Amino acid sequence: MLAGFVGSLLGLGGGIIIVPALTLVYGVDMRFAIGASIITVIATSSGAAAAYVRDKITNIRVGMFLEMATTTGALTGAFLAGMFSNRVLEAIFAAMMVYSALMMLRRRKVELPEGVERTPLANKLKLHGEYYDQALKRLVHYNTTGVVPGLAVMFIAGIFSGLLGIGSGLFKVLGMDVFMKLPMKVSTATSNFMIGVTAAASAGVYFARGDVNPAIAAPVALGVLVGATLGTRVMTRMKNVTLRLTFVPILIYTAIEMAVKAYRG
Amino acid sequence: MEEKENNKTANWTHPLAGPAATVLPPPEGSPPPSGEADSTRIFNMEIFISKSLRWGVLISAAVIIVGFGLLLATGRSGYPEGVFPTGLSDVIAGLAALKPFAVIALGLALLIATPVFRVGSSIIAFALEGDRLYVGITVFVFAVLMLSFFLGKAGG
Repeated sequence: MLAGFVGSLLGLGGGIIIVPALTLVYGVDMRFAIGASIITVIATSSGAAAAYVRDKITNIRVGMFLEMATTTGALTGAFLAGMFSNRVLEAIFAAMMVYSALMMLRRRKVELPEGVERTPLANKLKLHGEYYDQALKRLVHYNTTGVVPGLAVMFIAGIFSGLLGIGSGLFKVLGMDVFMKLPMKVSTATSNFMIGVTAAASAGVYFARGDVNPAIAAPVALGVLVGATLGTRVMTRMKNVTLRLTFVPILIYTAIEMAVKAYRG
Repeated sequence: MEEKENNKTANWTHPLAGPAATVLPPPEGSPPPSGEADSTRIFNMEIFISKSLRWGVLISAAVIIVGFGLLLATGRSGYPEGVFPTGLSDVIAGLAALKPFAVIALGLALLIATPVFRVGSSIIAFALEGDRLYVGITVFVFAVLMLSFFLGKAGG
């Protein structure tokens, strides 16, 4: 439930929390923990996205457009699997996390991005949007920029999810927040919208491989759905600044976890 | 719970939604119209996508609850220790015998299918809007998804 709550809040799958919780606290086999976690990602994503899309916080066009990069990235990652050592990947991943955490901290006071130029590509793709902010109590119009760097980050995010079997919601949020200059709420809601699709592709494989144990996945999926429902209610009322500050410790935590994994091999 | 949330979000109306949209001037201090003349139809699409996700989640949750309930009530999974259904044919065979694990697996499979279904239904939604660019984008995403399912099956 906690995983669903945090996941829906921050646009992540919640796998970061589920895997260590199941393996360390409940002593579940790593293989089944990952299988359950991929189900969790889909549950969080679909549950949260249903609410965010209805409340018009999700930018559907940005999501659909970027999914082109995440899905091809995931497919590329699946092909590359085994060609690189996981230790190297995890080290790169950790370094990128630390860098992103710093980028986010620098922007910690920015409630809404301002003076974002309307690029021709973003115009053509109709990526600009608006949403009603319940914390600010007004309609927020925003422009989208950095379409190409955004797409590149999503491709990398896709490769990582294909290689390491993670939802990589972290990268998706970062790409939209840092490069495309979307409001933080729009970034997390749109990330939630997208991770379900990335995860569904890998979930089919895990399912066929027999990594999804019904006895473990069933209670976890139900708990996460409840958590995600609660999370969406809180997120819409939070300020963008608060949301970003909640994000940073999770980034740092993941970076440390990855670094430790890379070090230990 | 559902009722309460709807009331809260109903406190504001989308300025471009509803019949009043044509006479409403843009809110003060807002940037010039973004060239999205079809915003009124996007409204419908959001409801459509949101509903398809919601139903997917509700149906799969209901099936998982039934299966989990069966598991707790009977105390048997319907399969030998450490064995559970991994393919659609296993699931269907198990369902006929009302095996608890098969029912849960069906619910989990429905959950996995929900985002895929969402992409598929978006193709129709964009087509109804006459947005060819996004029909193309969505078809591409759907094709890559199908390809990854196919390759996953073949490789795994």
